[in-house]
Order: sequence, then C-alpha cells, then structure tokens
Amino acid sequence: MRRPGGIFAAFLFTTLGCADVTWGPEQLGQGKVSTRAVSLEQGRKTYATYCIGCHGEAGDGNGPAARFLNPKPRDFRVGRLKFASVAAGSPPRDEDYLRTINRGLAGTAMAAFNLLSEDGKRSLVVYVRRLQTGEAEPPAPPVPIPEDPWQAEPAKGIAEGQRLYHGLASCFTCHPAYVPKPKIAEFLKSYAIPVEGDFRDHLYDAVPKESEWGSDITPPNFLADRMKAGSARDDLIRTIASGVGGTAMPSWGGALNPEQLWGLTYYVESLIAIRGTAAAQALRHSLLSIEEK
Amino acid sequence: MRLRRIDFVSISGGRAAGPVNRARLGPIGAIPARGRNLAVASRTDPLLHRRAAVSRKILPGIGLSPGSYGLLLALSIGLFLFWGGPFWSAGREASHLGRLAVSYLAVIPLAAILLSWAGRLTWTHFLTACGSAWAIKMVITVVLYEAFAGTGAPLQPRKAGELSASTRGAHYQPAQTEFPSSLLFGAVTRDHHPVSDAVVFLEAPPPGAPLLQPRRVEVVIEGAKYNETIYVARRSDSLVVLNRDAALHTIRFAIEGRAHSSQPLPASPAPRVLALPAPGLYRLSCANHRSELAWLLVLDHPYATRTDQTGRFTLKDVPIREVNVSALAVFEGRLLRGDVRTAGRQRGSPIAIPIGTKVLATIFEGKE
Repeated sequence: MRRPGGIFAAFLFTTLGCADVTWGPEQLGQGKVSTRAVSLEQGRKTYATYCIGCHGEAGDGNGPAARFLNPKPRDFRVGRLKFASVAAGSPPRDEDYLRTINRGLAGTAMAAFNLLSEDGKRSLVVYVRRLQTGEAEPPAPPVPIPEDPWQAEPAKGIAEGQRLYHGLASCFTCHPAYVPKPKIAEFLKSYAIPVEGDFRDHLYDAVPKESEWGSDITPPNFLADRMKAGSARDDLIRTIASGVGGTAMPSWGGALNPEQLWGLTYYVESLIAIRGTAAAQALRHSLLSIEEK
Repeated sequence: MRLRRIDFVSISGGRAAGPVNRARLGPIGAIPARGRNLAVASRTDPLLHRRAAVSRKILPGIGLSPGSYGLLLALSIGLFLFWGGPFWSAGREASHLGRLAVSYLAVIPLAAILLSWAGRLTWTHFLTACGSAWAIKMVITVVLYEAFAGTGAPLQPRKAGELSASTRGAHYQPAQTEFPSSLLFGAVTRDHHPVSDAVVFLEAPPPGAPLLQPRRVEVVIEGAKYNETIYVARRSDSLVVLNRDAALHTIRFAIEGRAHSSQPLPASPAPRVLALPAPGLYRLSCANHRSELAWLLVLDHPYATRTDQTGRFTLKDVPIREVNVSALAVFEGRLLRGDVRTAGRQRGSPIAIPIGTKVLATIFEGKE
C-alpha cells in the first residue's frame, strides 16, 4: 500500500530540490552581491532577478506582470521618471533612481528594494540607464529648493498654501478642492483673478488627466490617496517644485516664490495629515452637503 | 484469452450470469439489452462487435481512442503555439495569457464532443480526459516555452512622434570668410493653392550668414488658444509667455511625442520668461485645455522665414551648396510638412519636389 506521507515527502524533495534556495533579498542584503564591483553585468543580474517581471526584458515596462498592474511599470527606454528631483520631462539623476529603488512607490506594485546592497543598487541604476534607447543624455540639474520660510510659523504657511491652492495656482483644476466655492472665489479675487462662470463639475473630486505613460492618470486626493513619492515635507516640495514627469503636473519651482512654494507644501501636508481619518470624512461630507444645497 | 477482470453482471431474474470479460465488452455504456448473455452477444451482435473492437483501443480511464486523444492534445498545443501569432515570433516579455487561456479552455468542449461522439461521455471520462490533457499539454508547452520563447525579434522602441527631429543636434557655424551666396525664393502650395504664413527654414545649413540679434518671442494665450500656430525662435532669443485668461494653463513642450518640460502658467498679468529648449520642433499644449495647440521651431541658424499671402517666400544669403529646405504649415490642427533638397549649382530653374506630405514647397533658386 502506498503511503501518502512518502508521496508528500517525495514532492517536497523534488520541489525544493529544483528551487534555488539561495535566492532572496535577504541573501543580497548579507552582501553576496555587494562583494562585487559596480558593473553592468551585476546590474543586469539584479534587474533580471527583481525587475524583469514587471519592467520587462527590454525595460519597456511590459513584463509578464505588467498586464495586471495599475499604474503600469515604468518604461526605462525613454530615460525618464515620473518622480525625480529634476524638472518634469528632464533626464533624471542617479539619486532619483536610487530613491525609488530604496523606498518604492507607495500604493503601487513598486516595492522598496532597500535590502539590496549599495553596490547592487548602483549597478542596477547603471543597467537601467543603459536600457534607454536613443542618445545618452546627461542628467539634468535638480530643481532648486529654497529655504523654508514658514518653519517657525507653520500655521501661516498652511494658510498661505490654502489661498494659493484655491487661488493663483488653481490646483483644484486637477486635484479636488477642499474649501467651498465662495471661499474659492474669495481666494481667486485676492489674486485679482476674476471668477467667470461656475466652477467645474465634481469640484471635490480629482480629474483624470492624459499622460505619456499609456493611460490617464488621476491626480491624488490628499484626503484619501497615498502619495507615491512620499508624504514627508521634503518629498512633497520636491514633487511640487519638479512636477511629475509625463503627466499634467507641471514644474512649479520656477513659477512660485519660496513663500508660495513652501506654503503649498505645508497646506498639502496638512491635508495628508488627516488622510483617512474622521476629520477628513467630515471635511468631505461638509463640502458635498454645501454643494447639494 | 486471459481475463484481466471478472465481473458478475446481473441479468433477468437477478441471477448471476457468470463471468464476463469486461475488457472485451467495454464500459457500462456498451452493455446490451437485458436477457442476453453478454459474452455471447459481443461475438454475435455486429454493433457490439464493432464497439468492442473500438473499446480495445481506448485509453483506460479516459474513454477516448489514442487518435482522438492525440487530436485533443494537438489542438490544444496548436492553439498555444499560434493563438495571437506564432509563439516563436513573440518576445519573452510578451504576454502569453491569451494563448494560455484559449489553449486550456478549448480542451473542455473538444473533450466533451469527442467523448460524446465515441458514446462514452460520462463525468469520469470527461474529467479525466480534460485533466490529463491539461497536464500533458502543460509539460509540452513548458518545454516549448523554454526552447522558443523570447527568440523573436525584440520589441521595437516606442515609435517616434509625428514630428521630425532632424533639426536636433544641428550645430550651425557662421562662415568665417566670404562665401558664395544667393537668394532662395519660391512658394509653398497645398493642392495647388498658395499657403500663407507657412514657416520655411533650412535644415542643418552649411556655414553662412551671421547669427541674428536676440529678440523676444512672445507666446500669448487668450481664450485657451495660442496667438500663433507656429512660433520660430533662435537659441539666443528669449521666450516670453503671457496668460491672458483667468484660468490656470500649462505649457508643455513635447518633442518626438514626449514632454521635454511642462510649466504652469497661472492666471497672472505678469509674463513668464521660459528657457528655450535645444533646437528642434516642439509641440506646445496645455494639460487643461485641448484647444491650446501650437508648435515651436527652435533653430540655431538665421535661415527661416514665413510665406506671404501669395504663399511666396525669400531667404537671403543662402550658401550656394546643396541645402534642405522645409516648410511647415498647420491645417485643422495638424502640422503638415514639405521638404525639398535644392541642387547647389542650379540657377533659375524649378527644383523637383518630393511629395512626402500634403504641403508642397515649390522652390526656385537664383538671383532676384
């Protein structure tokens, strides 16, 4: 009579025997990769191990898993990133690739690969850069970030940011508005911007926008969505100043003065701080109830 | 003949009729009418005889003959290989989900049809036929995948945008000494009609006239529209953008279908001075207003002009050498382009025009 235990043991033996038991991020973290010099070949191996499933062999963002992912994995052939310290549309810097590798992108399938050794990550960046088609381009200079003028008075920064968000910058064109319409009109008038006609429909929701990444992208609702490039103040101001590559989010760095740029950052940060809480729900509920009236 | 299995089949009156070679008789579905000795019937009844002959060839437990089972497998593997294009011509990064799903799902109806045709459609046969076919197919296709997947041509890079980038990377140098030059004049037509306000320029001209003095190129947005359809700027010029609307605009410079930069233009009377990108042809658009569309041609040489109302143009001090002359015009939101290569020594006679687009540049070269 056959013994089920024996069959199971044979299956286990066969399965484990076929598996590469040395594979895994923890092994890389123990330095098995970092012992080698930074090299293209090392980057290729790391890419083949961790990245190819989503980003594809050619780096076109069309790996076997890409079909199931939203947002889609980055197409490295164009040599651009969405989240970088350079102006949107410019060639990113190594630190931009490294930041994404280290921290991942919140709310997406891009995980943090900070367990890779430093050499492993750098060689990966070298390899990913080589996937770019066309002429190699030098990285662009980072968008300058001014000193924070609101450090001592964050409440003033938030107020300035709220006025700017609903006034001069008109962020509610794409992102949701977070104040009632009369207040928006008041903010616009404070910048001598006339209010012509009614505001857009669904003012308290984000508007999907065309992008270069193969599908429309909906800007985040700060009360509900996770910030892909990070929610810390430094992350926020970098995203605002640099913009988001290939999307409708422009580079605000050159268009706003330091008070405005940081004010916007403080205000967005204040919204993110209540994300998913009862306060956020209450704010949205009150805005929608005013709208219905 | 050796009996492999002995069954007692109940016949009339519930009496045991004796041992029956079940392998000869086939499955239960082939049992004839009651009251007949099955062993005898199988030898005398032609129908039963044929069925018994067939039953000797069926695969145990599956209910299909080797031929039918082979057909089932061949169809499934064939679908895997050819669904959505030959398997070997797809890159490894291509998704095979469609061919996988179809090749597995096709087994289900086909197995049912084949079993039904053979008169052996039972749940047991159906499930066994499907399951075993899937298992065998999986082993074969895994081997095929390892052998052939990714052997096709690699994916081509993303197609370039509609705009030519031939002006990129040009490095114009003014001539250091006197150079033989002439006027270059002609007309731009479309369907034999003159095209006014078309931009005519040389692509990568040889050393010639000195660079022009820097000037201010003003881009005005009003009513969610640009004040021109094609702007021409030299690298030394300054680009000034004015938003006269009470709405947020953005200005996106795209070349070859990808954004080079994207700048916000808040509603403000203050003009924004933007850095000019490298020489090339850029598509200007706004993320918030589809009606905002224009093109910006950035050149690093002085050879550019516009056609007049009659579609005619003149370029001065053009070196007498072969030069590429291009014309750009916008019709119904589409940028159309015509290109012609002039023969350097030809004088006063019309030049043959290649018709690449709907814009035709009729160009004559010579002295005025």
